[in-house]
Amino acid sequence: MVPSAAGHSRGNPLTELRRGVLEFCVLALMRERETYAFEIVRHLSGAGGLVTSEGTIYPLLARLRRDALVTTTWRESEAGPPRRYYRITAGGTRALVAFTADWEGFRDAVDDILVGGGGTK
Amino acid sequence: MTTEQLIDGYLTRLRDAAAVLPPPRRAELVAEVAEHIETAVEGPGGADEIAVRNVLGRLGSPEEIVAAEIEGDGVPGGRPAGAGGFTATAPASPGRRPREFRIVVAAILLVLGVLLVLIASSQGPGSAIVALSVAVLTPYVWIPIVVAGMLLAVQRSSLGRPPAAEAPGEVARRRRAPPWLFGLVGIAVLLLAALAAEGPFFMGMVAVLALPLVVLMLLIEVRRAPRP
Repeated sequence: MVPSAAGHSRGNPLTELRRGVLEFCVLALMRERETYAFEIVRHLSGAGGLVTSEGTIYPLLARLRRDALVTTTWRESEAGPPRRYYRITAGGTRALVAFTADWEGFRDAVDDILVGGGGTK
Repeated sequence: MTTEQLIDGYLTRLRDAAAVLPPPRRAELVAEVAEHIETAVEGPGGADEIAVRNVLGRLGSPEEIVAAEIEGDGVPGGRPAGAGGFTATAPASPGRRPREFRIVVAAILLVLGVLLVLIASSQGPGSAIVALSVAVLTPYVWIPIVVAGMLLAVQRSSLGRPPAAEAPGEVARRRRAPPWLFGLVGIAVLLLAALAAEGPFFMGMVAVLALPLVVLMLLIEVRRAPRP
């Protein structure tokens, strides 16, 4: 276990947690249907402040595109310029499913120790 | 300060901070953020100065956005592995290896193209057999490579450009068009290669035509893969 002092020196641990889970939350948001960047940002900001600096979602989306976890299509919008719509790919779905399983295990393990008193499994 | 000045100032800072990025991605990022601001300002709350400051504040600083871009551009493990070992389960970026592969293909193509030009220019009319074998054989070797490389390059492309005004169906067709086009180019070059069998002059022409093609490929690769 990391001593709490060391933990504090690395800054807010939630920032790091957020960083790790964010891309999977983004993938999950486009699992059911196509969506566009602004909608994703609004969703994540609304959900308990998963995104603190909304602009950083664009680098994240660019990386997902490069890694072929998402595909995009330009579509006309009712008003304004065409929008880039995001859809999850088969590879993205695999990554999301794998992470979801990992996350459940991770969350339960942490809960066990933090909330449940730990020691017994 | 007017709201336009506020937004322009922010975008200028972003453009400056993003100077370290490859130009196409820099332009794309600035366009994405500009559109975000536009959409956010249009929303409820209107476009008074406080609303705009709020939108810009929520975006985070331009430097922060560019830092996220650079960080994400690195190896997947480059992100702080700090809290939660689960970050290690991040997908091992399937886009990474093909990109390197494409650079190698492009480099091979470039060398082949240069070789073709050299051979073509050094062939006298006397060495007909050599000229014939180079003209007929070589294209059959490198044309499939060119086509395959281009297909690869286009297939994984996510550099879609916003079409001015097209129905969704048309957009989808447009995105599929390039591989098809490149295939046509390949066939055209193949026909030229057949013509080249007629003599060194035509072969030289084929070589000269092939070189820009190869250079174009390389340019596409460099644009797609900005990092060395």
